[in-house]
Amino acid sequence: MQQPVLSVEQLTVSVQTANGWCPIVRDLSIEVAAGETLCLVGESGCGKSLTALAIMRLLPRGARINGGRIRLGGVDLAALDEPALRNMRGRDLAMIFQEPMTSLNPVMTIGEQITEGVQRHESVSSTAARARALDLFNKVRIPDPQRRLAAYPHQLSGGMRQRVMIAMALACRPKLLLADEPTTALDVTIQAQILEMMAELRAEIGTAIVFITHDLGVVAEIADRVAVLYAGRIVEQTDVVSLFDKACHPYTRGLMRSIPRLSRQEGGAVVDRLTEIKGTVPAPTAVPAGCAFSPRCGSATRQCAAEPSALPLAPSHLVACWHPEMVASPGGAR
Amino acid sequence: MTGYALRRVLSTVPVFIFVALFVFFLLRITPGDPAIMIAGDQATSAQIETVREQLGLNRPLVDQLLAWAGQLLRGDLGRSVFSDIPVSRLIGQRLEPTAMLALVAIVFAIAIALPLGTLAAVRAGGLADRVVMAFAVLGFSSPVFVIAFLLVYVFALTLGWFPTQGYVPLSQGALACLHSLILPGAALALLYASLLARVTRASLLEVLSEDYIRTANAKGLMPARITIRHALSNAAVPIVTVIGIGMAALLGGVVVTETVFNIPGLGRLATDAIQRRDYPVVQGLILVFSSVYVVINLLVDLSYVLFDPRVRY
Amino acid sequence: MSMAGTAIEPAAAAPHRRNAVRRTASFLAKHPAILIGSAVLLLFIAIALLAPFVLPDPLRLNPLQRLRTPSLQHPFGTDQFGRSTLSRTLNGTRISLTVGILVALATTVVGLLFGLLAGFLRRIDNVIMRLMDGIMAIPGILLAIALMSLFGSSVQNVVVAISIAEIPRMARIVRSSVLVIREQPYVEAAVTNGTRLSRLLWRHVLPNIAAPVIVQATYVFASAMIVESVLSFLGAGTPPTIPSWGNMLAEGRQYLQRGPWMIAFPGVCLALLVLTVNVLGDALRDALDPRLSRSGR
Repeated sequence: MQQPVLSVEQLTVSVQTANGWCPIVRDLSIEVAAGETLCLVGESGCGKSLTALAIMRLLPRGARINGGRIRLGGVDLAALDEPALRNMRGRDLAMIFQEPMTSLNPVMTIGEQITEGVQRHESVSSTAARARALDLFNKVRIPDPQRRLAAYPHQLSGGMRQRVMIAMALACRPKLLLADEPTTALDVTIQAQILEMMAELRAEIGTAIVFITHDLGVVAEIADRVAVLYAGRIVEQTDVVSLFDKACHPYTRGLMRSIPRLSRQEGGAVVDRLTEIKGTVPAPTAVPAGCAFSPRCGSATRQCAAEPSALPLAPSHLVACWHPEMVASPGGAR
Repeated sequence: MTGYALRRVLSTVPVFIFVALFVFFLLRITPGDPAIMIAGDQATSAQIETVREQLGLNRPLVDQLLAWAGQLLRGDLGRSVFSDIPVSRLIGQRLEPTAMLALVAIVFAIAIALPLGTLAAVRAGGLADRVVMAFAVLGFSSPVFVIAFLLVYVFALTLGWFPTQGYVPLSQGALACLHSLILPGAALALLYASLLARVTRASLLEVLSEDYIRTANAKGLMPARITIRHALSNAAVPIVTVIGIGMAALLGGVVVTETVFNIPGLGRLATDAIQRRDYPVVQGLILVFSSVYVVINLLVDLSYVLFDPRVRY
Repeated sequence: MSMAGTAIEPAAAAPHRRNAVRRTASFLAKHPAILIGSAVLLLFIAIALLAPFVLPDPLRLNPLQRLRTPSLQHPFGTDQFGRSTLSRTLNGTRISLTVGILVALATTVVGLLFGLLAGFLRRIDNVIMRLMDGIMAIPGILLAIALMSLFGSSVQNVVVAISIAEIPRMARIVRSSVLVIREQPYVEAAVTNGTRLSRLLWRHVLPNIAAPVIVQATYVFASAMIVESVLSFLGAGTPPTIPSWGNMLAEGRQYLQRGPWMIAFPGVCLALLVLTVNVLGDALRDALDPRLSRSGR
């Protein structure tokens, strides 16, 4: 089998609190192959963004990697020093962020923001860099690209800015793209366009994508494989079809059930109330021992006081649960 | 853009009017008789009358105000009570030393403060940061003349590298002129530089925590480019603002520095005029200093368009 | 814990007051710079209060002992009239502290008044701010000197003159804070609930502008001490009969080479006191509202 582009093993990321270092992401392991999109799903605060930042080695002050290995195309990112990492960023791995307005430099033209990335990693003339920028603008479907090169971020709409960010990220054709909720701040119609565009680009360039989101609709649209996060741990990891049809972890099933629908039948009666998962996500400093989901889980037993390891239920379907529900799950977002 | 520029220029008009009015009333709100104050305690009543005539203090207030306005618009700042020389000529004579001193101080200050402030921000929390900031706090806690005395004691009296006082005019050679201005310029610059270094650091720190810096890092750009092209250009607006506002401190410091170093500039003229109760000169100087300050801040505001494209549109 | 908090419910008010002492203590423990700065400042205040009782008369002339270098008998040396520099320097603390504190108080009170008026009443906002701009257009020292030449030399006049120069900046700061707070949802909520203006100010507005105002007040304190010394140095400040540091520096000027201690001691003391207050101001700013200064610490 071909070597995966990204291979993360047992990654632990901790954050500094008043009482010392507290792990947010715990023993996270994922793999992404070339041209594949892995969606990292979870609620706010479960550590999705930190995972992406850790992979880029761009963790903010007060956060650090406390264990695990990160390999990009076989290269161990943890072993590299900062200058080597700088060479890789932008060229081999790239990241796009949630808020396109604040992620673009307000005093530089978007043309310059793209060409500087190109000229940093490839020795091309400024004319060639400009041509590349124009080409990228066309690919991300920015209208009137020639004039837009000299535009400033505040002159563009939200959707347009996110396209610019994608163009910037893919300028040097990286092997891996990390996308941290890029469509969350956009409205639904723009969201659909962006996702469609990203899928096309991925097909063309062959980049592996790790797409972070909390929206199962987006997952259905764009994912090849999905990893569900709860309290910093991956609780279920499988391909997208299996996730919607055969989710086994009680948390995943809870998420599926809570997708609002116009009408639903359950046990013969029409259900018209929103379903929720009872309880709340534990704070990172107060994660229960053993299975973190057990306090909220309907099928919890004494066994759940021990941390469940990821059991392969099927080839490429991992579940971290002592009592996975093998019954067909209540339908997906289709 | 021109709309912005026009509005900014127009907004300085009320300020000029205020300063002119202030200066006008400055003399006339005193508890005593202004003519006596100007003529001095020893003046005879004839002398007092002359002064009163000269300054038009015996006319109704409205007349005086209108005459004053007319004078100002013609550029006539009156005549010195002490020497009878037109105030504008006096100011013209003493302008060069002050302008040169201010220029030297500004160049010194910016050349030191910007790099050091940037260094402190980039290495925030480290030794360089603490050292630079400690110097900055010390710099703006010490009065200009104390620094001046220190510099004179060490570099002029003890080491003899620079003159203890005096000013060499430009006409006698640019190098000699600069040499005579190094100590006073340094004393004056320290205060200004401290303010600038602090604001540079604070502004840059704020910018460095912004999302677009994270994006720049994610693109793998070199640190120098990020600091200069991405960060400083965004930090420029507050920094340039303080360059403008700090000018007030600089202009005030000029008065003291010229006194300590015996430089025949506008600052010395001001202290002499105040001591001699030469009010027309005092009035003229306040107008000149304030106008310079207002114009510089206007230029600063207009320069924002260079730094922030959002201002243009 | 920043003071920019939300409105406190009446029910929680009583235990809140009981905990105030404990909270102050833990606040000081977490911010050693404030503790040290306050301690040094208190030391200076103690010196100022005790000096007239403990030290020899600073005005006493002693021509036989003129221009003595620092020694055991005269730890800071003597000046051209034989007066003890130690005594004069430490007594000078009284003037500087008096002027500093009074100016800070006056500036705060008047600045608050103007700032609140300008912030809440849109109609006079423009007028007040133009007035403030006009005063700020005149460089502070020049303004103070001009005012002093009109009022005459005395400590009260020095306080008034310097305050006038410092008020505009304080008024601006108050006004900016008020403009921000006015837009806050909790203020809108309080107004819709029909809260009386006085309660609005006391409970909602003042606690939230307290932080920048306190910080600015300390900076004004420091600045006022410097301006007073400059005024006295130029002969437009405290009367020469009173031993203020500015006067001492003015007199010591001619003796820079023969008697540098005449300048060194008051100069160092002034710089030290101003430094202490400035550092206190910085520390308060860092502690009360981290947003006002991003420090990498």
